[in-house]
Amino acid sequence: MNTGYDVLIIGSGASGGSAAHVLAKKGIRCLMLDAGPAVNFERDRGFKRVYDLPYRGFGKPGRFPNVTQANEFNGNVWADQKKNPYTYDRSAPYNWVRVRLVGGKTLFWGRWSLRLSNYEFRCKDHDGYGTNWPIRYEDLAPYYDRAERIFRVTGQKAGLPQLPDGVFIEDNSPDSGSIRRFDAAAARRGIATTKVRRASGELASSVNLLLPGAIETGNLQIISDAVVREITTDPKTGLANGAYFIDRRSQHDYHVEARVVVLGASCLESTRILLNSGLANSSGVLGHYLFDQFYVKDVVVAVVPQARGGNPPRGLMGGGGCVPRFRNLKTREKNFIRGYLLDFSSGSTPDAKYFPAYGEALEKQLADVEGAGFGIWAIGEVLPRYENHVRIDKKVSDAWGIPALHVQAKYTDNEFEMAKDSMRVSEELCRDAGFEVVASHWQMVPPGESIHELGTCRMGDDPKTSVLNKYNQSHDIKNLFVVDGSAFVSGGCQNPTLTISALAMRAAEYLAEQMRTREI
Amino acid sequence: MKRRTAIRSILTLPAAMALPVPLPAQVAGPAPPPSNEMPDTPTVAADTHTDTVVKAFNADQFAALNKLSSILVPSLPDTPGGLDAKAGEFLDFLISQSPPDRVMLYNEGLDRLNQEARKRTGKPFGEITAEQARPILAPLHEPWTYEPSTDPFTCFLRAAKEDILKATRNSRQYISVVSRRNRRAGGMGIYWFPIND
Repeated sequence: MNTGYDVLIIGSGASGGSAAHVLAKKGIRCLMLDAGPAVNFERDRGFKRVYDLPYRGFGKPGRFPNVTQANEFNGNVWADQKKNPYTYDRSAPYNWVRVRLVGGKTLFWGRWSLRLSNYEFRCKDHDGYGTNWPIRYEDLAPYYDRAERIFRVTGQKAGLPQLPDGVFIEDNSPDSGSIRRFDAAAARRGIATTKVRRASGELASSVNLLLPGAIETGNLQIISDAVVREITTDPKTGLANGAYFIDRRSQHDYHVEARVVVLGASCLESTRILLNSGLANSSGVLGHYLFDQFYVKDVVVAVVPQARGGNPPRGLMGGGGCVPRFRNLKTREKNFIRGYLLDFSSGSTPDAKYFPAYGEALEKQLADVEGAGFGIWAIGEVLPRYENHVRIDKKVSDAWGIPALHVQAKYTDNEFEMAKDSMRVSEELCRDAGFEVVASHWQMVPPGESIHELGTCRMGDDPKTSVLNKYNQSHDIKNLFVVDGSAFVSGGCQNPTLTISALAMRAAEYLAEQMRTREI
Repeated sequence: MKRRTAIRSILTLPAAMALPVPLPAQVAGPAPPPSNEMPDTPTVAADTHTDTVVKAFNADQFAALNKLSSILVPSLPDTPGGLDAKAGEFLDFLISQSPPDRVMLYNEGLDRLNQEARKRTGKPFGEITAEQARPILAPLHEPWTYEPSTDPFTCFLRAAKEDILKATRNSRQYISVVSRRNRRAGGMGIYWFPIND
């Protein structure tokens, strides 16, 4: 009845979708499970005025204490924190932001699509800290090419070793005057800038770019609302043979069998499933080396003086760009290793909170800077550390009785010093560009909030210090693969989705070949 | 494949159907006879025709909140202010449903407004002028810092400034006026309904 599937894929986002995209096209019969329902874009969303919402756009108080991205318009897309609990120490808050829908977070991601470089893959060679990946940039480059074509990434080649160029839909749009001034200020300091590299299209998701091609082959079936409890193994061989799952709505239990299991349930969910299954942890590092990328939101808020008055000159404002990592490439910083990137944009209106005024005076100030704002966010590398980890909290279970995760993650001096540096540099660049700095700070958001959680199931050549080999294959169980962000060894400061997709496609190619030659 | 076609093609199956042999598709029966046209009964919004019941605050606190709304976001000749937008009534509702620390911030902050006003003028905050309120609201003239102030009253004033402004700008009264002026559909957003819950 439920046999006959070659591969069970758990998760339907960037990683599960990429794996299915490759495997189904090679004639491999796949069954995909996702913990959430499928979105019907016509039925499930519609235009509303903010004053028709019960809370005027504020959202129901206390509904999402750890999801700052949630607002009253999109509140129903985030995983309910009461049904999907997790724990952390009060002294170390962690914002675990989840989407439980077919397509996962690719339905709502920021779309920045950046490649890692050998500064990340060979990080230990470069600065002596941590562990090198078991692969080099060159191993992944062909899969980056494929992922960029699928996600229709726009960009402009820049020839930077720390941010390799890709297969772009060429972005030749002219920059606004304020962007050119910022670029010139950076160039005078020897700091490169690039245009934003971003997936394009009305929707850039697994559900419209990865899954349809797999479904068309007839080799992919998707079961929605399937909350996986654990992966099962054959007691005779020790190999994975399927998974238990619970129907989200009916609470009925099911088991499905397959020759191979591919986990792509998202970084921490995949690790949670493995921990709850008691599998793939002969190294003892499963759950460890959790990291992400820190954000300093609005590290600098500035105003372009020539745009004041509420009617900026044509062509002065608008657009944005990226300052790729520039620290610790050829020189060494005294206070921190690795680096950060800056995401800058022009043409916003600074928030009222920055102006020490109220009433009519505040209204006049806001009218004066309408559309004259120049904002910067910093995104920094977080070092992988053994002590930052997840484990099962046996005292807490989710709405389906599955034990929840306890998350322990803290930033350390390296991240703090990097954040301070990002503020100093951002202020200097804005002032050099002739902008007025309205506000600045270096306070990072809590770990997890960037939604770039990585690690906990890392790759490596040594089975004693890693969970997966260089093809995302479990060292312990050869027919078990983990293809999401949990496999990362280090993360750089580049948004990880493109790398997740490329790694998943590479793993799927390897798996298909192993299945063809009957190695698996 | 066009996007809509692609999305429609992502047909997922409930578990009970996917694992056993799929059931044959049901044959559609004859169309039901046309029903009588359903009436579309006009209704009005409660907040445009009735008064809300104050729940979170006592009378003095509520009067102080309304005065604060009128000072922080005053009515201008062409733009509704906090009072027009019933920001006080809305915040009373919002705070009544908020976590205890938020309730305490507002209760203590509004009480402090009244204490300060009585100390300086002999009247509660709700009865003083904007000019008389100016020294009481002095913390709002201090430069912004990322770190919250250690003074609870300053924290309250900053929170109230942000909340009253947002409650006003997201109100029916404000948006209808501004939309007419700009000829734009203001305050509109894509709302996600509960998905297959």
